[in-house]
Amino acid sequence: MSFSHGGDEVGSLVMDIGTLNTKAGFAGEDTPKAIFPSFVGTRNMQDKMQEDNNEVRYYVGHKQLASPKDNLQVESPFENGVISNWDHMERIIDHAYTARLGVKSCDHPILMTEVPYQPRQHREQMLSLLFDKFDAPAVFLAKNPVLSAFAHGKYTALVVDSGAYGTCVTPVHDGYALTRGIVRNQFAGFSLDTLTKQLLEKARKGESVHPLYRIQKTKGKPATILPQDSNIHPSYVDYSLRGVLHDAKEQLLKISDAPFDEQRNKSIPLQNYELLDGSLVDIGTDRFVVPERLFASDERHNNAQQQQQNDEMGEFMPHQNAVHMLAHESIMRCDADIRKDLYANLILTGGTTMIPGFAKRLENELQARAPMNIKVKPAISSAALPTEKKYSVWIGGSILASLGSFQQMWITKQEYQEQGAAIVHKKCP
Amino acid sequence: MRYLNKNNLFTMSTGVRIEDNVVTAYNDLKLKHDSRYLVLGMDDDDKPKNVVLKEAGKKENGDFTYESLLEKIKTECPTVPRYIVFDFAYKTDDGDRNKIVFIAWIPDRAKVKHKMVYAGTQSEVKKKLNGLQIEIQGTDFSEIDEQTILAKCLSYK
Repeated sequence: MSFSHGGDEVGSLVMDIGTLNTKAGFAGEDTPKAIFPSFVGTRNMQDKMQEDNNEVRYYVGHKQLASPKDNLQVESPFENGVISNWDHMERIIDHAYTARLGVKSCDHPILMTEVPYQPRQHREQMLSLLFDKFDAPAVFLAKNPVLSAFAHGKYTALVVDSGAYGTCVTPVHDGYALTRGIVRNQFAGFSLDTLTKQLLEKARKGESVHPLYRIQKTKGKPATILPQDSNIHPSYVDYSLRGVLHDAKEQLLKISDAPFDEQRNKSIPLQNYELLDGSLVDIGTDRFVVPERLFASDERHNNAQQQQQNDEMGEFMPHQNAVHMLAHESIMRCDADIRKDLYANLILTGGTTMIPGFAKRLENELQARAPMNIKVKPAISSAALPTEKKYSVWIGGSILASLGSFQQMWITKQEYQEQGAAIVHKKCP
Repeated sequence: MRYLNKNNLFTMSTGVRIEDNVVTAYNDLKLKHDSRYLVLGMDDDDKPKNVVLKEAGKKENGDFTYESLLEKIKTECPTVPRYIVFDFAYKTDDGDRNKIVFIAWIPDRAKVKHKMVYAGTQSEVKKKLNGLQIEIQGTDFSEIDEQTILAKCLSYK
């Protein structure tokens, strides 16, 4: 069963909507054609003259969000790592189809990725959104960590996904995401953004970091900073600031092999860094102190507290624990006989895992907590493309959806109409 | 159509099918000990439809040692995934033993596409091969050396 339209075989689409970026593209390609922020700008166009005009305009994508506007608020469709604003989700998906991929949604089967802790009801709602609103001919929902594991050539692995919102650790065994073992926290890229901002402001002796929209660059001259505008909503300022902070994160942050002792390292050479606005700062130990937070256990959480929280919210209660503690807990929630295989097949995915030193530190910390005879082994990506680690989820989806053998696996529109959204639990693991 | 792995857990699968003669060859190996090893792979690694029998190592082809099979993998498919099934013989304090071992050989240096295909199809392969005793997910040579296999056999319950 292959999908054709007008006699030609059409390609399938793959979308991976993360908490920071949406990756969308065509199945069979190496990388997603479109990568844009998973944010929706909303602007109440209330006309001061006609008070009953409640038109709201929406802005999605880099270009539309590039320049600030009065009353423009930037919102995420996610809350606590799960979809909460379905209208915004719809707008993002629509932007991907029309503005970025230039296709009609009714023409292409679509593989949508999902977090492994996606509530059942959300899965059904996603199906409804794609079939009812977008008239997709066929849909498949695939779990991120399984795609990532397969893309690394593994069907049993401990997948550590550290992105923008938080870190999620999923044990995958024999191709199955062991839900009981999923552990996550809310401390990753976005949190590092906040700390990086503080780091830069400290280095600038208290002067605040300018968001991207206020930086005006002219050739041959130093950048000018546009004045602050009180009409610009703080959510837009934050959004615009992120670009500046990301550059700083990428250039500056490093994670040490072992717990970083600030005192002992006081005399490390300073690194000179030029912000996007042209100003220069010198950064010292803060380069290590900031990302060290990813590996610092939160001592306030003792087991009893955790257990109570787990009981209240089910097994997906996020807590602030360090990456290696999450990984260890995830392994310990699995049967003893598969733990060795999880330790030996560590997969890292997501932007935050690309901080230099992240992989080595996680390996060291986990090894220190593993039983004597067990060796921790991180998976090596054949990384012909450096983006492979960051986008392994999308890439996995791209390959899967392009296989001829996979075409029988889609949920067709007919199946959806006949059996309802609950069919997702039957056809999509 | 649910793809259940051998623990009856619903796994994502590529939809690639297993050819009947693979199962036949496997049963031969298991029951009659005619073949000592099987090399399985996609009919076409880039456009897979079926897992087929690539090679069956017969007893009469000479003395089979795991070492020779490992050499074979090193020379013939060091960067190409394959599924290997073989009858591993070893000695214990209680005497000679043997185990049917399955290796999903998916090397680190293989193409991403091939990794995806082989990793996504393996649960279906294992389901069809009843009676596999030892399974190994191998991504480099250190993971499939004789010591590793022996250790797994000895700790098999």
